[in-house]
Order: sequence, then C-alpha cells, then structure tokens
Amino acid sequence: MAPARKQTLQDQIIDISRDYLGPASERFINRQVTTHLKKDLKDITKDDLNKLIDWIRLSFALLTNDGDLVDEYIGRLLKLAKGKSSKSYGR
Amino acid sequence: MKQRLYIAVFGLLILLYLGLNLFVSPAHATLARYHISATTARVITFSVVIPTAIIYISGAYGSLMMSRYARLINKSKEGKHFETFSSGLLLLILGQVVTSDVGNIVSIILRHEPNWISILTIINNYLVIIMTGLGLNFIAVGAWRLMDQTRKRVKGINPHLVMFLFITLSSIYSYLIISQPLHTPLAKRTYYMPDWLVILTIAVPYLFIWYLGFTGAYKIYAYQKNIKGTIYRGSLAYVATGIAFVVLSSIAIRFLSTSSYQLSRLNLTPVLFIIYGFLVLLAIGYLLIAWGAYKLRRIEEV
Repeated sequence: MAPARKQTLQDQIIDISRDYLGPASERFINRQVTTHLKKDLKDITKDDLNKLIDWIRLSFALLTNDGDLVDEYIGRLLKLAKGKSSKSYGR
Repeated sequence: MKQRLYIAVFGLLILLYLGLNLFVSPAHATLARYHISATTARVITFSVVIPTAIIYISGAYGSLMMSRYARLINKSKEGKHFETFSSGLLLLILGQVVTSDVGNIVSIILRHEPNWISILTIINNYLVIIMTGLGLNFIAVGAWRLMDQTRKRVKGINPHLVMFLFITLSSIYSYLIISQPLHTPLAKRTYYMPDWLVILTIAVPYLFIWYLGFTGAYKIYAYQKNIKGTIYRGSLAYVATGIAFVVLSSIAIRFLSTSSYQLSRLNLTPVLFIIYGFLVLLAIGYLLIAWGAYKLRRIEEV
C-alpha cells in the first residue's frame, strides 16, 4: 500500500479557503502572499502564517458583511497555525 | 481594444435606435390602427424607446462587466469558459439592438417601397434568428463547460422538470404558430414564405435556440449550486439568476412577435403592459448579471 501523501502547508491553506472562495481560493491566497508577504506561495512557512492570516482577515472582510463567516474562516486558519488541523491525505 | 470597439459599435447602434424612433414621424397605418394622434404616438414611443435604450445600455454594461471578470481569470481552468459565456451575453444584447435597428429601418423603407415587403421581412426574420441563436449558443456552451468541470451529479432543479417546462413552452409556441392563420393574407404579412419553410427554418430553429437558452441558464444555475465556496457561490447566484431572466425575456420577445396576430386584436393598453413587462424582466436580468460580475471581480481584486 502506498504511503499517505502529506498535504503541504499551502495545500491546507487553500483547502480551507476553498470552502469560502471556491475556485478563486488559490488565486486569493497567492495574491495575499505575493502582495503582502513578498514571497512565492510555495515558499511560505508556518512562521509566516500569523501575518498571512491577518492579511487574509482584512481582505476577506471586504468581501462579506457576515462577521460569523469571517470568524469561522480565520478560526480554522488559526487552528492550522497552531498545528491543530494538519492532516495527511492519501491518493 | 476589443472592448473599446464593442463599446463604440454599440454606442452607434444605440444612437441609431434613438434616432430612428424619436426623429422619424409615426406611420399613418399605426395611427389609424390604434386611433391615436401623431402627438400621442410620439409620447408613447418616447415612453417605450427611452427606457428600452437605457435597458440595452444596462445590458451592455452587465455583459461587459462579466467579460472583464472573465479576462481577469482567463488563465484559470474556468476562465476560458466564462469568456465563452460572457461573449454570448455580449452577442445577445448586441443582437437585440441590431435587430431593433434593422426592424425600424425596414419599416421606414417599406413606407416608400412597399413592394419590398416580402424580401425585407424574410431577411429581418432570419437576422433575428441568427443573432439570438449566436448569443444563446455561446451562453449555453460556456455554461455546459463550466458545469462539466465540477463532474458532480447535478443538484438543484430536477432536469425532468426543466424538460417538462421546455416541452410545454414548445407546445404553446407551436400552437401560436399554427393558430396564426398560415393560409391567409395575414400570415403572408408575417412570414412571406410557404408553411413548410416557416416550420422548418423559423419555428424549429427557434425551438432549438430556446432549448439552448434554457439549458444554458439551467447549467449555470446547477454550476452555482454545486461549486464550493460560500462567498463565490453567493456572487455567482446573481449571475445565474440574471441569466435566467435574460433568457426568459429573450424568449418572451419571440412570443410577442409570434403572437402578433393575437396582439393585434387587443387594444393598445394591454399591448403596452406586455411590452413594459418584458422590459422590466430584461432590466432585472442584466442588473443582476452586472452585480454578480462585480462581486466576482471583487474576490479577484482584494
């Protein structure tokens, strides 16, 4: 049996974002990383997460008036930053 | 560059539309038919033409917004399908203005050259079919390909219900075509073609075009229902609803034209209400598309 492939940090961020931004999620995250962190998406690390989450919160809040939705999305990202929702996904 | 060209062409067509309706005196036959004075006819024309022009401009605006969104995401998987879809919207609204202008020009020519009525009527009828068909075809193709991307079982409206509604609409349309006395001089004024040619080259294409329109609207609705992303889906819902309104009103225009025999037996007030009803439906559709496109673009810009 092939070993389960561990999702990268970028994959996990995009996966969470997809529940809110659908097909636009990868573009959204990529834009936040390149514009505000001045990095490529593939180069982000866990140390960058808290700063990235702040920018995501600001940008996402511009797209919706639903505070609960913003809190839910950011909450999931914060859990990821604390290492609570890392998952391994098999193919 | 292409958008600027489209805006320039569209602008000229709208100016032509306004000029042909507002600066050309009403036909004596129309005044006699509805027992109204030239002044009353002008007031009525003004009350229909100005809102119609505004709605056409709103339609172009909504379609251009959709097109701008599609170009913003053109490198993505769904980008090229949104481009196809928005091209259909641009063609549909352009087609509506073109056919309005051609219809007005035909009316003016016929006042001076009544012998040209058959050839001009035939050309006008086919032009409407081609312009409407092109627009709805592109909308349907873009919508189908978007839906194919999800590779999911379609949730939402039962497709059998959609088919039932379409069959009902086709039956009503077929009845209207047949109940219009095809063997009387009035039919000749509408089509100037033998019955079999009317059925084969006008009725059947229209039914197919409406099928494309229905399925296009349905596929966009289904794509919106099936796609992930709360914010994305909410924004796309406006586009899906707007498309449904635009497609339905395009079909309503054809029904009005097909029912010209029945409508000509009504007095003026119900006819105006029917026309205004269609205008409101069209306006709502294009405004919803514009709003949805704006919200989708916001996601790509923040």
